[in-house]
Amino acid sequence: MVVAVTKKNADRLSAFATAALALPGVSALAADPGYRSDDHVVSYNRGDYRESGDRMTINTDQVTITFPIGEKFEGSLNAIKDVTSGASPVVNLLNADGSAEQVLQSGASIRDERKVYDVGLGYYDDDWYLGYSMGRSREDDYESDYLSLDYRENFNDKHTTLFLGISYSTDEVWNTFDPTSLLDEPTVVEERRKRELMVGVGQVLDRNTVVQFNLTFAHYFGSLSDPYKKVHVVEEAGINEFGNFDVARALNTLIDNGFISLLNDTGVSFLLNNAGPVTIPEIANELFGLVKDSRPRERDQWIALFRASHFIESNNSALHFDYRYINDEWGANSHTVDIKWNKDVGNEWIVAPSIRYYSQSSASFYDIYFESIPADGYLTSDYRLAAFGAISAKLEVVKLLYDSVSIRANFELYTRQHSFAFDGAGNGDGLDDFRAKLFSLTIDGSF
Amino acid sequence: MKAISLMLKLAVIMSVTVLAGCTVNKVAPWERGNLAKQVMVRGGSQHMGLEQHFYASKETTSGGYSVGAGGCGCN
Repeated sequence: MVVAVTKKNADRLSAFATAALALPGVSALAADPGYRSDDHVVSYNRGDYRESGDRMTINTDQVTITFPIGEKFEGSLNAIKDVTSGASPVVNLLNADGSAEQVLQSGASIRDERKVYDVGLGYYDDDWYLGYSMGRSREDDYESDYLSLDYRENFNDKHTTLFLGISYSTDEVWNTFDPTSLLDEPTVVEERRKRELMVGVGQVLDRNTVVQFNLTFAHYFGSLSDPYKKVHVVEEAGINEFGNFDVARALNTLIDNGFISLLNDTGVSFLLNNAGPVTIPEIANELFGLVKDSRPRERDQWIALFRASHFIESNNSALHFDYRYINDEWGANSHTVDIKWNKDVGNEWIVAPSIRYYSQSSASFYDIYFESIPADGYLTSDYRLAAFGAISAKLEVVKLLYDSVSIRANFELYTRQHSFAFDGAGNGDGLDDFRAKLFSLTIDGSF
Repeated sequence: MKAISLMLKLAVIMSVTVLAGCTVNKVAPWERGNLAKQVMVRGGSQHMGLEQHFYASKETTSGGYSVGAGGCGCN
């Protein structure tokens, strides 16, 4: 929301936030002043993410620089590097009791490095702003090129702001073939596209309150399946013909006893997968009914977002409220509520607790496992397409130093549970539940 | 094109609705000091970008705050 503040009376922390608005994926926030900073701003962020059960660990480093160009332009450069390690669920298998058990990627830990570079250029006029950004994200098994246009215009005596945004990304996704991993398949490169169009309106309601409403249409097309995920289909498991078999135990035993490693170390895996009559994934399919994740090649989403920010004069604090509803063509509709209370506690300190609740229903072709392959061929057991809810408890602490440097620490405890989803949200199970901790430290400096 | 047309119509409807409901409460430029307070900024952009990236990799629906981020092969 662009409000009429001058460079003089705007707070330094606001300047830090505004300077980084050009970052892709970061919102134009309802209460942010829309002016160009005359300072150069350098920001560094270090993030640390850890999941329960020794699953994923991610370390992130990010550097952002924004700088004025001439009287009306602003440029930005942004670089991110993150390193992911750990294990991720691959498939749910049935045990002797007939209930599902999760099998994590095994034989080799996941280790992936992602590098992101983007540049932005913005033009500030008295009542409007136009920004352009483009970037590239590169991983061991994914590459994304993206660009976006962002337009904002004030009218109605600067009480109202219109937001328009359009973006396009073209991605390539492939599976890294690691012969030490049980279920890896020969590499296949696929393409994936995303288009987004957003319109929004921000409004100053009174001297303490601003609101914003955004509507976004997102269209995905191309290969939207996950090349690493598998689905257990009972009818496809040939081993079941020999009686009621504990598939989960059989597979885990093969892994735990080093049988898979032996195949890899002796070169048998390599021969089978490259020159043999059948590959290991084909054997796994025939014996254990492990079928590749398969999703429709198109997906539309409508996203409605309402935001409100209210300044509380009596205690020098502000309440921020977000509600988001996403209508998903695949059936995974979601609700998100985010409430944050920013409290100025004096001496340039801000303490901000917040809480977030997210609930999604399952995709129409999701299940924990399948008895048979559906007629349309679409099936997934990816835990991200299940019905679940997640609650986050968050805390932010900010300290402004020397009028030109700020330090910001953020902590989040994220708890994901199937039972947190709204009633009737669809298929899911507690076996996919986990907790995660996210800690990040940001230092901003202007000169 | 159908989606673009619908979006533009919705934008006009939203704008008219907001304007109709809010023009009575004029806030002069010198009355906007509170709106520019530090606490009215929701948070740091870098952390919010990190947070949204994390949510997008664990939840199948995401976005709506802005446009322009690239995809990822997150697990």
